[in-house]
Amino acid sequence: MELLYRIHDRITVAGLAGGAASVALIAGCFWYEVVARYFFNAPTSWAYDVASFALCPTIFLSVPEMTRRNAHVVVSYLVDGMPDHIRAPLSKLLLLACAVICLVAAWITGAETWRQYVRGVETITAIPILKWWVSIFIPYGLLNTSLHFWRQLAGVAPTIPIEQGGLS
Amino acid sequence: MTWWVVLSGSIAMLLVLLALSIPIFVAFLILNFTGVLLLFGTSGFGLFANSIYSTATSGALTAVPLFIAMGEILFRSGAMEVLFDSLDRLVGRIRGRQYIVCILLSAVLGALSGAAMAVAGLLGRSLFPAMRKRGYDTEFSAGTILAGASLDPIIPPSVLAVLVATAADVSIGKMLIAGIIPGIVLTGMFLVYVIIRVYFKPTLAPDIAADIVDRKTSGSALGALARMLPSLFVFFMVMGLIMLGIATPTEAAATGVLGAIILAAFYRRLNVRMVVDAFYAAATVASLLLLIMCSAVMFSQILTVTGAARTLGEIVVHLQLSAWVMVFAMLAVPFVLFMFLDQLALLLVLVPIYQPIIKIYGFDDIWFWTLFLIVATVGGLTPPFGYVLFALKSAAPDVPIQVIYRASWPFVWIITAGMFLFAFFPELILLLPRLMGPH
Repeated sequence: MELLYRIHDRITVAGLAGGAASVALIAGCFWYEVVARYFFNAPTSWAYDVASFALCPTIFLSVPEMTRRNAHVVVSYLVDGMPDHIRAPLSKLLLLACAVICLVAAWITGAETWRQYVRGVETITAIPILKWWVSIFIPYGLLNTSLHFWRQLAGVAPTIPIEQGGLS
Repeated sequence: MTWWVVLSGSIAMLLVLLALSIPIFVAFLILNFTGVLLLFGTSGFGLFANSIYSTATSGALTAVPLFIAMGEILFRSGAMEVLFDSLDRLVGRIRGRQYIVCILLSAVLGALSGAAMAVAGLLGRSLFPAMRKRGYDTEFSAGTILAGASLDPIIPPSVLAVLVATAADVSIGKMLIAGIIPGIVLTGMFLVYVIIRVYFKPTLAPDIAADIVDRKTSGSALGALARMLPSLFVFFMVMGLIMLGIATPTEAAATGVLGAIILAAFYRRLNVRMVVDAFYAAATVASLLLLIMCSAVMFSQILTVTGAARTLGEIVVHLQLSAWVMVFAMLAVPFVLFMFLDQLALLLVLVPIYQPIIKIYGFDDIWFWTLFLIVATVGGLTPPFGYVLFALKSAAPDVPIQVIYRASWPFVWIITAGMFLFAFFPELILLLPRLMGPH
């Protein structure tokens, strides 16, 4: 099992690298577009679409690593104030809920991606591409996230310092 | 199912889930999955999947990771040190000068990045210990750092403004530009407050003679201004290009990243590792924020399909409240709720409820959502659960949280007074967006 966990962790970390690369791709697309339009008077028909598509892997390749790091945004003040004998089982129950809903969402989005694959559905963009090339990242991200929640529930997740995300 | 059952049931369910400390994106997934199942059955699953896909491929939201990457590169570029030294020189011989430097530096940082937590953490680790060491009042120092940091989501570029504009379906460019004048006005109000407080209570700051023994105060003021110019270049690469109509907000976010890279090269700090780290940070922070957006968008569709948002709007019309009372109520609700709830979660719940009301009353979208943005910013400052308070607390663990709580209140009320000003004089918000033209 240890080997499987290690492989899972490496896939997750590699996913984050893919997410970071997607951010670079977004930036590169827009740089190219601005230069092409204003210096060469030759706007592209693809840059905006490619950048938009790259947002999907940016989010869903990175999210499993955020789950592994326990970094999701939560409002924890009520539970923090609870006594241990209530908080511990409640935390397990919440992890179970997280694992199940992410698995269900992965299944729903995976089914939709499969439908797009089977029917050859294309994007409605200037240069159409197969939609599943983009949407495949969504079930991947949700499924991998679910696996991390299951591992946390089973107590076999790596100990990583908790980070809190935040908007402001 | 009647509209009020959908509306009250879903909000109650969301609040319970959030209070149980379930991740916000999971709370929205549970809410929307339940809603889809009850309203459409399994045939609604395609709608559920497509709402996630459409948000995850929204071109407007590409600005979010780019603005975060830009801020990360700037924090590592050495620009902060140069800005601090220059402002320290420019402020000159005024009692309480570090308070003023702190607020001005935060405002300038706001014009370069736009994450209050990051700035509160940065100043909490760098400026705050130096101020306390020099004899500045701990509580008032904490207050000026919190106040300064709260300017950052208001002054563009701002990730929060992009998220508000996207959720509310208004022009991102106008929303960003609308924050410039309120940001400057609030900076001015903070400065006036600080000067008055120090004037009437001189013990808040050390004697000038003790405060000024610092080599940074040497050199010409012109030289200090000149040293700040390269940082203005980054601001131009974002807001300048938007205002000149050369780049869209998303393109400007990308040119801002390029500007930050050029600035890092100018300060001889540029290296591959730094840029890679910035893109990693952008992916991590953006994924957390945008996953919540992806999970929550279906909620507004459910409210629309059930007619909840429309019917609520009709009820509001029957109440025949004056426009001012309505604006006050619409801003007072999030003002209170932001003390306890996450900004993005609450934003995504309130947008579909507020949109029909805004249309009915004919409020200017940019004006209202900019006021809302400022309320959300205050939410980060208000005890007991403002994010920015905890960012400062984690940067200065020896300072009791009660001191940080007390420090924030005067500035919360100043921002609230500023909001009344912006509400009564809408041109303060709308002047610059109008100059931008219709697009």
